[in-house]
Amino acid sequence: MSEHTENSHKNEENNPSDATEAGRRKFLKFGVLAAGLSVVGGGLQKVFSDESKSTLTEEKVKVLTAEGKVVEVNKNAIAHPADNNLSHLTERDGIPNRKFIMVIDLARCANARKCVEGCQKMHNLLPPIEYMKVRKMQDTPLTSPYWFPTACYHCDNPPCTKVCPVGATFKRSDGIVGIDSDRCIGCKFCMAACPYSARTFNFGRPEQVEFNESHPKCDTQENCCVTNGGAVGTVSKCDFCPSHVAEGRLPTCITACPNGTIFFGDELEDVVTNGEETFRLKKLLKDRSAYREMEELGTKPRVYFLPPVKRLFPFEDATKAYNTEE
Amino acid sequence: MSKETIKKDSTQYETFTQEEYMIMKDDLLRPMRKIRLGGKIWIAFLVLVCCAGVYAYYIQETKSKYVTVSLRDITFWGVYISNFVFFVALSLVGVLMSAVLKLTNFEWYRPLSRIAEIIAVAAIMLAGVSIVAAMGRPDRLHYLIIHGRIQSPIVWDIIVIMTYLATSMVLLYIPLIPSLSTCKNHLTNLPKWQLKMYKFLSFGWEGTPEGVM
Repeated sequence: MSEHTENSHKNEENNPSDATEAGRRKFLKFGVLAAGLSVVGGGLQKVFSDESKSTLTEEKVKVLTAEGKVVEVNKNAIAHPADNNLSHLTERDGIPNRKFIMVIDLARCANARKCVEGCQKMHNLLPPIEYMKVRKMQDTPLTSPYWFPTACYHCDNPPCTKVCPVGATFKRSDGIVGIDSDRCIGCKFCMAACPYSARTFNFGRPEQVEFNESHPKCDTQENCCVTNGGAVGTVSKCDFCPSHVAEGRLPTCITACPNGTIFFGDELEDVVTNGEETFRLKKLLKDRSAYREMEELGTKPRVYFLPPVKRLFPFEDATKAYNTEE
Repeated sequence: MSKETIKKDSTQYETFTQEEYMIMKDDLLRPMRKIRLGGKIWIAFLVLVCCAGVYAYYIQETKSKYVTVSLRDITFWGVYISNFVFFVALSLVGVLMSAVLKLTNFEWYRPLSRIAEIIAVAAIMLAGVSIVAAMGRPDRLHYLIIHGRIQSPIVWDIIVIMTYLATSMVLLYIPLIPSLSTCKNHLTNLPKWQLKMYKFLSFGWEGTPEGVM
């Protein structure tokens, strides 16, 4: 444990801005040793803290159980998930005990494009770069067209992470496929591998570079993204807003949608919400015969689509279809 | 190799006359002794083309990654990767030609193998340049060694280029040794360092059957 800390300090002296990154790499290098030591250390810490807690307070609070009973428990026994300090987690670590999932109800989309604009604001993107896209879809010549909001599907069997030569894109334990833009070499192989064209390349257009400089990230709580997606010459894409979901907030595309088209939730909790309505995930998927795009590829996307039946809005061709070139 | 076969081989090699050898020597040394006006213009033109390429790369790296070859999110590799495939195939053909001619024991291939190999070396170098030009962050090229994943096809691209380059260099150098020796012996009015270079590169090759061993 002490050896690991010493190494981190050395790195800090060499390069203060990159200290956490260097520390993390060191951690990976001495992964087995450090992990073994921290398990021992964490175990000891837990024993001590449990003792001190039980002696400190006797305060009781009433809580409602899942069965509907009101019980009194010790205040210290209640865990507040929102209070969990996740600052020790790096970009690559998933949030523990989470499996994020998205459900898009195609019957509700009216191509308002608020999700696209919200996403662009969140990630400091200028058009035509869109992580979230709304495409016009028409299955057959006889059927009616519909709007199809799409983004990165955060596949459980992602083709993109397999081809990365430097491990800059990775699958997190909470289901998110992330990009480490400090490591990405910009070979664009992941873009070739992705069957859904979810990824975009930061070509470094002058207006985008200028915009990034004049709009620094994390200036407000609303416009804050931990992933540094704007680095010139790297690949970026929808990241499921990891800084938002870590705090228990919904990603921007969901809160921005006026029609509640997009649902976000946790597969382990079996629940999805669009901020106003909440559904049981498995029941929703079953009742509405949900599907995933290009199921036959075996990529196992984490984004489900509900077919556009009983639509809330008629399809209007007058609404401008964006992204037709691409 | 037994002494008899060496003797047999050495007689086999002496297929050209002294006159023919002089012509060959003159062909080899003429462009090194004096470059005529046409040659100078041609070299100047090629240098200009190279400079245009370097300037285009400078524009791409300073202004934007896609200005020179119209890359977009859908055509994100474009001409760079088609060039890469073309040049790798070209260098493969170079290696293939010399390998086939060597395996079939055709003696007339010797002069041709140099052409094949110099094409292979030049092409594989350009293939590497194409890859680096297509990369978004060429400054992070060393990450391929630090963080390289052997599962990735890109890492195998790098391994292929390195192997081809090393092999082609060796296959180019070996047939060049007699010519380097000729240069050492017959180019007299050269600066001292060039003579030293030829002496070093020719490995003290004298063309005797004993030297083959």
